[in-house]
Amino acid sequence: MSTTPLSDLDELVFRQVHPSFVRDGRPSSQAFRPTPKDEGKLSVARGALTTAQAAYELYTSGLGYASGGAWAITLGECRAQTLAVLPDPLTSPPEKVADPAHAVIDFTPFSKSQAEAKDARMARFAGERGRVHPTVGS
Amino acid sequence: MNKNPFVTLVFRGGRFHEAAMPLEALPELSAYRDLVLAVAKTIYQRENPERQRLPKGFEAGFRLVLERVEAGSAVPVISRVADDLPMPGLFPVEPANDWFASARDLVEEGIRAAGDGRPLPAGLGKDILVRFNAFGRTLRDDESIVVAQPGTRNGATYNRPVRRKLILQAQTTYEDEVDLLGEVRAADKDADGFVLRTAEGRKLEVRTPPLFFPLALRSLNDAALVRVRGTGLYDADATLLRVTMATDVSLAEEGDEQTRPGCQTSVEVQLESLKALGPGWFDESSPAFEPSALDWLSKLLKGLLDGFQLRRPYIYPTPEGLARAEWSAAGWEVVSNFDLSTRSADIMAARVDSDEINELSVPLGEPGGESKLGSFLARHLAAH
Repeated sequence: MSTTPLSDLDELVFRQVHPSFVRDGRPSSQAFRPTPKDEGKLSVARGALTTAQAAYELYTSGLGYASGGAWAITLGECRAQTLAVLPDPLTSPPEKVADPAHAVIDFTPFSKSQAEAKDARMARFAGERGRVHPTVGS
Repeated sequence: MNKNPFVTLVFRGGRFHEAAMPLEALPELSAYRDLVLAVAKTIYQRENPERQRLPKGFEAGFRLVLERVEAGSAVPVISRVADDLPMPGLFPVEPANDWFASARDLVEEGIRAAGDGRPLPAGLGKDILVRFNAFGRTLRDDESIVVAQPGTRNGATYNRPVRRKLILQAQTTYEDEVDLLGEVRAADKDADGFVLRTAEGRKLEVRTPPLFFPLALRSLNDAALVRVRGTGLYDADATLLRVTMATDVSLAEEGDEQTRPGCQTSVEVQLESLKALGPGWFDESSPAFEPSALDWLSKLLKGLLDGFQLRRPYIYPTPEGLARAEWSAAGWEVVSNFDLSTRSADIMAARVDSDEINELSVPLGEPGGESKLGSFLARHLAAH
């Protein structure tokens, strides 16, 4: 993983949201929070290197995980939360599926409360943008 | 002219406790009539495939009247009117080929099957199922209609979940009433519509008659909050896709910000979906939820929402077994994690445009706990 944050503030990153974390089309903020096994790093897919559809299909068909859809935030919105986005391309092996667009949002510098506040704001940004794949109504 | 009882519709819950029919629920009666008529036409065509047309007067021969509203919830008694001397063969009334009675029975059986989770009767094709779009649209979460045979009050229960289930058998979307607050962000007179930004930040296309355009433009220019009522199109996940027709656009009343509806799905229905999650629903360690604990939370939340006039939260499970309620307010994101085993809550409010965070931990089993939680929520959900 690179330690140099990505810098194109207009770039979108896609986040897959578990179906149980979507209610009436609104993603829960916990979908934008690293789980304990993530060690403070939230996985996303870079919009500069993949599409929302390809990221969704890699996650569901490629890796076999359940997704209620992909939501997106910009690097600028992450920057506003003082969150760095680090490129973290995955190769196969050792991973099951290669993912050159993989990146992580680094929550490690922050306390649990700070992280929870940041992911609530990020979920708001993503919710306002709406589900990017499958697009609503498709 | 003679009248014969045709069906009993028992309106239960919510607005019907006083044995009165609210005027806004009256369209349900004509929607029921239209549904039965459509089903009868389909049955006739199915039984008479050689006929290119319906018999003359088929539709006009099906006349239903509201005779009276009986007590015990609101029970409109619907009778069928028939001329004394019908033309022979024009409006058959013999049980063997009374298509309207058959249609009534098929509608009732379809509702019952959907409610029980059984396969629908074969006679209920997609062309019929879409007709349920118009019937039950005004029902609220705590209301239902029992569709019963004449002279009885026991029948099939028709409510919002059953209606949704029936319509989604035929198509991937369904229509329902909407009541939204928001600001107009773009307007297009040629397209008869505008874009509404809701309190939750969603942007929705709204189709509207020209009548409401001046107000839409005022909201656009002055960032004025407007209330939009009408019919919305929802997908199978209950996500509102767009407002297909606004029947009213008006300036919001003072205090409407505090009474915004929030999540469209009731607390009870949201918590029911948590009950359906089995162990391992997220990963190998995520537990199932104890139904009685969720019932406790349902009562707690309903009391808080009513007592403090709060908008309805979005409720989610967490992998750790907590129930999580979230609100998006004008200036704050508010999250409350409920520990169902200790009956306590950890609440966090994050200001949207700064780093400000307010937190509170509340043991809900202790005196004053619920008031502390309600006050905290009310303060942040009302603030800008």
